Amino acid sequence: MLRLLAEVKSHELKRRYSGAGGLEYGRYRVRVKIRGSALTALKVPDRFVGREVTLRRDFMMPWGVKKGDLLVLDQKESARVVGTRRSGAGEDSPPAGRVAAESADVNRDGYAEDVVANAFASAVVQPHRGARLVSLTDPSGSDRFAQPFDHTIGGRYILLGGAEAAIAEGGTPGEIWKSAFEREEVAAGGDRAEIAYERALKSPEGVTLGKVLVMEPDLPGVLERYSVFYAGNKKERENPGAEDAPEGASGRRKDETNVTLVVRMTTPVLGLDGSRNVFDVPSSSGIRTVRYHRPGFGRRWRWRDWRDEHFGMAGGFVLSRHEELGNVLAILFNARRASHLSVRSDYTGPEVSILHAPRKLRKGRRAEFGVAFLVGESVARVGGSMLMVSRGRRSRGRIPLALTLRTGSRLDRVRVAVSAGRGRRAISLTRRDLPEIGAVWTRVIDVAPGELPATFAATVRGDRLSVTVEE
Amino acid sequence: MTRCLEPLTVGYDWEMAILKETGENVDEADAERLSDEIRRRFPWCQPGTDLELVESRLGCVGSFEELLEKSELLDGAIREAAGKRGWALLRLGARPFEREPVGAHIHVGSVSDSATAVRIQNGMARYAPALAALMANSPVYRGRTGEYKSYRVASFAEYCSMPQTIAEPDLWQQDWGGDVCAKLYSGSTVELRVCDGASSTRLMCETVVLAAGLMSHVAEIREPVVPTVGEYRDILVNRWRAAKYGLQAVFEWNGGRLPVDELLTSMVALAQDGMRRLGASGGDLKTIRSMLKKRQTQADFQLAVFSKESGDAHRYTRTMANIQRDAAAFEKYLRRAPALAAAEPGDHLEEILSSIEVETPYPVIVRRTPLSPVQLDAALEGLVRGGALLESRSEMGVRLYTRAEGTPEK
Repeated sequence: MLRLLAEVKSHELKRRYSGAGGLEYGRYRVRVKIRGSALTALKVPDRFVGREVTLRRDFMMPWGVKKGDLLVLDQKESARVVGTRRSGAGEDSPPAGRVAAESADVNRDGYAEDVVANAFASAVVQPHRGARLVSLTDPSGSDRFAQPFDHTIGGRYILLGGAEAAIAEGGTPGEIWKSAFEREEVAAGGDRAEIAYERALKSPEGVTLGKVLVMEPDLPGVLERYSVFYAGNKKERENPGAEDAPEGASGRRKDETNVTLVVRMTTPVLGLDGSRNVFDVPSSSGIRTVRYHRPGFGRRWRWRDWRDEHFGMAGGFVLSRHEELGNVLAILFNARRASHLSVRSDYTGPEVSILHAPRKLRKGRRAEFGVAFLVGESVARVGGSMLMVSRGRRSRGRIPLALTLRTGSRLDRVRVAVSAGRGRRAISLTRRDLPEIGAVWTRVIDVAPGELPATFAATVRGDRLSVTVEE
Repeated sequence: MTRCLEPLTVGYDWEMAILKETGENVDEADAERLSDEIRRRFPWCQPGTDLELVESRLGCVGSFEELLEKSELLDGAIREAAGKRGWALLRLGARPFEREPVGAHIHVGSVSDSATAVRIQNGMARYAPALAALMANSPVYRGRTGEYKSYRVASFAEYCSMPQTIAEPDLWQQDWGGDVCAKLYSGSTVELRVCDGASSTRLMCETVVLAAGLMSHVAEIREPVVPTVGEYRDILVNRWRAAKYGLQAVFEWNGGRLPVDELLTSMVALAQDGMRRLGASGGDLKTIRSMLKKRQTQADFQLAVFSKESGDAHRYTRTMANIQRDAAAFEKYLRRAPALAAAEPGDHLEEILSSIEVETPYPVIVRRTPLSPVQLDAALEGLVRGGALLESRSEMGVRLYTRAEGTPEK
């Protein structure tokens, strides 16, 4: 979504012609010099500034281009300035049991994105845009996130899409969404990819936001572990004990701050009828399905709280899916740490946010949160439980299928009845404790194409979950 | 007999965008600083801001000549103040990729009694859609294009210019946000809010005196003007057609159909007396007459420019700002532009259907319908009876509608 601002250095009118209705246009060859980003909030690398390129543009006459005019280059023109696209890891997903990781400028915005992939999913993270998880696709290329690129708040915020973090105390919209994060590659693929991101925030002062992205071979998506650290306020750091106040037991002001971590996600519209997009929100009274309804037009007051639907939660997951196509995105989190879930269905693309409960952090303390984003082909959901099946890339004539069960109930074991082709069998799922998220039951099996359709059924506290994977 | 609008005065708050070099709107604080500078330079005017838009506010004016002279002074001053900061003036009915449409609000006074103000508000209801068609200037809105010549009018200016309620004077409460609004709670004017922000100072001034002349005419009809239910429906359908087709619209009028350019020509005749009181005549409406002759609007100008901008609203915004350095760009376009044909009106029921997908709640539909809520109910009932829609209820009892071909599988 790069757009560059350029100044006209020279131009040549190649020809005049009559367009629709006999209106006269001029076709120009225009030499321009890049001045920088055409979006104040989104910087571009310095290496593009000053670069000269030639454009071919048509202008209505008599308003042809002049030397010194400013032009905004569209995405295609801007991408030409950036250069050719390099292939990302997601374009050639690795076989079952492996994880690939690559740093590449996959969207031609001049910055390298991190691309991690396994047999089930491919994820793209933009370290330079708040370390957002901008894209999460299954092997068919279907993205579970949208990238609306909508301008709000007078251009001070652009809805870039994907999954972005915010600290509510940092103000609206805060700085994280557009900020560059430091990046460190901890594990570079093979049997695990792990990349750490970090940024010291201007607001709230003294707070550093960290995020670790993990992809493992058998998990159909990524884990994100957020860490919010409070180093103390500057005044206190530079002159400890200078300010006395009655609040602290010792007579000194406590150096502490509140942090509320929000994870905001724009889930896909797929370019299809918007109201086939639904959210499944588990609650103590069962699953509530919320349908997305595309608004007729834009509306004001984007940030007002009363525009959202708020849900209390049970089960520690929320599903975003297309009613007919499946294309499930399962978002797992720790329901006890979350305050509520907020669903906004009046914007470009459905939007869901997890608002964690505010945490009071004393100087030198850290709070951690976890979220998992998993892609699935189909899902069963009953009560506070869900069973999802994810299809992996076919390899050596076999199709890997990942089963994921998440529930708010405590379980000792999970058995799944598998009906594939003519065969019937029962398998056990393995319990995994995802950091800061909790227990999830998983298993990867593989089937021959002839064994599809296959049905998987489990019973959780009397609720029967049954899901079928088609041919 | 004393005239109802006495003295006849006009003014406007005309919203416009000030752009940074990048084509993005300047911040609210910058817009305020620019307004301050204009106020200091011309103490007779009262420019201000609405969020990050600059509102050119003229103050109270008593003649067309004064209106033109002061408007041109203000226009020049705003351009100069913006230019020395490296900014550009963008005068459209909507910024192509940023939130919130941009309006040109016309005030006509002086009216001091509520009954007269409400009578003018009611009487202007049937003419407001024609003025919306004349001023259509928002065909690129939040990155969208191709459906309307005025997305601003179609979107009810994001709830800042709603189809107006017809008020019974004794049962009327002061309100805000209708296409025509009696504004006695903030002054002594009736405000026409339906017009898109204008690209041309000349066109803006001509529309102001036309609106004032019309209001003067309506005010002198000293009996209550209350449309019938059928006439009110026509007003709403005409408003939708104005948004969709601009001056190519054909209106429902007095039981028949009338091209909006012909209606506006007759409105100019009705406005003659009032315009004369402002020192203007039909002959002064040069830009409007050229537009009517060709059925061309500012929206058509925008669309002709946008057609060469690869569909990119950001790129287009910067190009249009470059073109608008020429203060007379729209008049030059008009001289070159072809005459357009009147458009066969589309079915507004299609508009309602297009807003319905699967279990679409009534509140979503009612925010988009060109009709009044009661008329919408009847239309939905008809569509259900005809098999085009299925109706169900949410657990809270909200009506849900699904297009028949899109019925979800149970």
